[in-house]
Amino acid sequence: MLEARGLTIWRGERRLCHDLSFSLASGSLLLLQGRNGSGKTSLLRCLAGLLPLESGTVELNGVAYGRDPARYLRCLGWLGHKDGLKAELSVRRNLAFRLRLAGLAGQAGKEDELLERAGLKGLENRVAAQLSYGQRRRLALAGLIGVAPPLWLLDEPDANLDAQGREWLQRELDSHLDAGGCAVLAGHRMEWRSRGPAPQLILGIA
Amino acid sequence: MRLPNWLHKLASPPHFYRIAARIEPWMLWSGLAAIAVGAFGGLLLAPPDYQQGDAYRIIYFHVPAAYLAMQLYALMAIGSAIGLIWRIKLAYAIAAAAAPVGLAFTGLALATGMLWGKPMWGAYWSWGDARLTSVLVMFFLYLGYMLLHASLEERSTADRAAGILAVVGVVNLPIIKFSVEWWSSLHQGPTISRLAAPAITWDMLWPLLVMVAGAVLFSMAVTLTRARAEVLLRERGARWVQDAVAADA
Amino acid sequence: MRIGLAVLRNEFLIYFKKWVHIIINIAFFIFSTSLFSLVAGLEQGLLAEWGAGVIWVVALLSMLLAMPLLFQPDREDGTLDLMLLSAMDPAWLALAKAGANWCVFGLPLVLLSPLLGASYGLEGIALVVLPATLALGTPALILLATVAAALTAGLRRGVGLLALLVLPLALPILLFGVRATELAADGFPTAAPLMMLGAFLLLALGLLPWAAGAALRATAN
Repeated sequence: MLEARGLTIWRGERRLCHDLSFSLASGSLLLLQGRNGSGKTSLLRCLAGLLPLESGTVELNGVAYGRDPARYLRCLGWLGHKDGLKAELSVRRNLAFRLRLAGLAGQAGKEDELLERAGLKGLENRVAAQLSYGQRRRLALAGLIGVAPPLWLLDEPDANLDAQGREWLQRELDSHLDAGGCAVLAGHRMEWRSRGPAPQLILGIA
Repeated sequence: MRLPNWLHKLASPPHFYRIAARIEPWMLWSGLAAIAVGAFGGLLLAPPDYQQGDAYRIIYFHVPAAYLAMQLYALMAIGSAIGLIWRIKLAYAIAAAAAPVGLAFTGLALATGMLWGKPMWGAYWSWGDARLTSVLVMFFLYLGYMLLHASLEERSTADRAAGILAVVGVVNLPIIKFSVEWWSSLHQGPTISRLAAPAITWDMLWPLLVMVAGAVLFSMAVTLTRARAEVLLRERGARWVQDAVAADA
Repeated sequence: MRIGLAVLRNEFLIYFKKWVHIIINIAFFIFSTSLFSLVAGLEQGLLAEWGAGVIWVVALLSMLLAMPLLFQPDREDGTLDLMLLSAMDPAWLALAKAGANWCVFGLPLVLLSPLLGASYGLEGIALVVLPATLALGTPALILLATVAAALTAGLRRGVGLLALLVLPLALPILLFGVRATELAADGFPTAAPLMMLGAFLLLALGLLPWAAGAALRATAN
């Protein structure tokens, strides 16, 4: 599903990786590990097309970002460091906007279901600014799950999540992978499981 | 659209570095020589103007400066556009190298323009003059380019962002010039007595042409020096840079 | 484009929650124009002569006040990434952002300008031409601002630089807007400058969202 060949990424004066290649089949999980500042986030941003590659190619379902950005982007979902929530808007509005960005227009039933799954039921009309950090993370994840793109790019998805939240995330990750999706996950905590073997990529050595 | 092959070859940093190092001294010394000859011709040999006396002689500095202010802006914008379209990093390096040189010539054009304005208009500045005002705007565009480039930490980001600004600016410059012309054509304030450009004679003209040629050569040499330094800085991790520096030392 | 409409809707919702900014913007506009008239003295003739210019410059400055709101908050909370990663062309994103920003911060100035013009002693047709020039000029101004705001969104103190980038490029709009109003006040026809302002707006609509989209991508890191 995801094919990366010969990636070289520079960040200012520093070369984060050199001639890095990997490929991810449907249903598999790639873990990115490395110290702070080793370039996990940069690699994720490169995969999302947000950061230009110095050299190398990335193909998602056979499409390179440069060839057809819209088609490439439709296949990937993003959960960054920042939750991507509007503090001024209610939980429901935030979720609805996230779904609309993916072209999924107003489906109140689906929103309710997602909020229930994320454990945010009853908070629909609360303003995002009043949520705890963990609850914001859950809401951001609920948006990603609702959009359900084939490839998930997750940057420390468990930040601020409690034990229950992490279990919930693991369950969602499992069902995503079982359904034939794949995911690239950057983080420090490396206890994430996948039914298949989880390939692991350690940055900061290149 | 693809670039021709020879351009691609020239765009490789080590190749550019070597070629630029070879032609640079020629440009610099011939440019300085032409400026010396032009200044001698313009300031001493050319006859005084029958209306302006000796005051007109500032054109030997003003015209080349104004001409280069525009040419270097064009170079900066074209370099940025090539960088944006074909992702050639050398083009960005040249654009970034040209900016301060262009800013300096724009400042010189403004200063000499003001000095010339005093005997011509009776004031150092005339907002009604389209050329002066658009050169002032150009000064701020150069400044904006350089400040934006300096503010963005990541060099590749800075190149692209400042490049977009340069391209937007180059589209806007003719519009600005036209707007100020239109504005001043309708102005009803105290009428400005602008002298019609008199027919210039050959003994006044040749020093001007030599001056322009000298200034072009000189500015190209300075831009190339700066571009070479930029290339070295940007490629400092590369093997050829270490070799080149070792060879120079 | 449908996603662009969703962004537009969302922008309105957010701006209405930020109503404080809207009030600040309007108050700044009214108060700064009044300051000029106080400083200039009470001579009616002089005020009328200066009115169009002062109102236009202050309108430019009050819009400048709101320009950092275009992309900076989105960049800080991570929604800009999400919007850039949707399948929408970033040019539509820029256009939607510009549209919402103008409706909230530009339109009130257009509507208020006849009142302020009258307080400056403008009369008759000039009170129609002044808002007309603002209605044509301020959207083009906002479109210029989207490019500059996209370029400076990642900078911590980018507001000053944003102003420095926008102001020189905005000069033509300002000149035509002011001159059209002055011509109207003196009883001359104003079709030509108004049409020029319209042409600027069309040109801006055609080119600048595209440039702003490229700028958003360029600074997305």
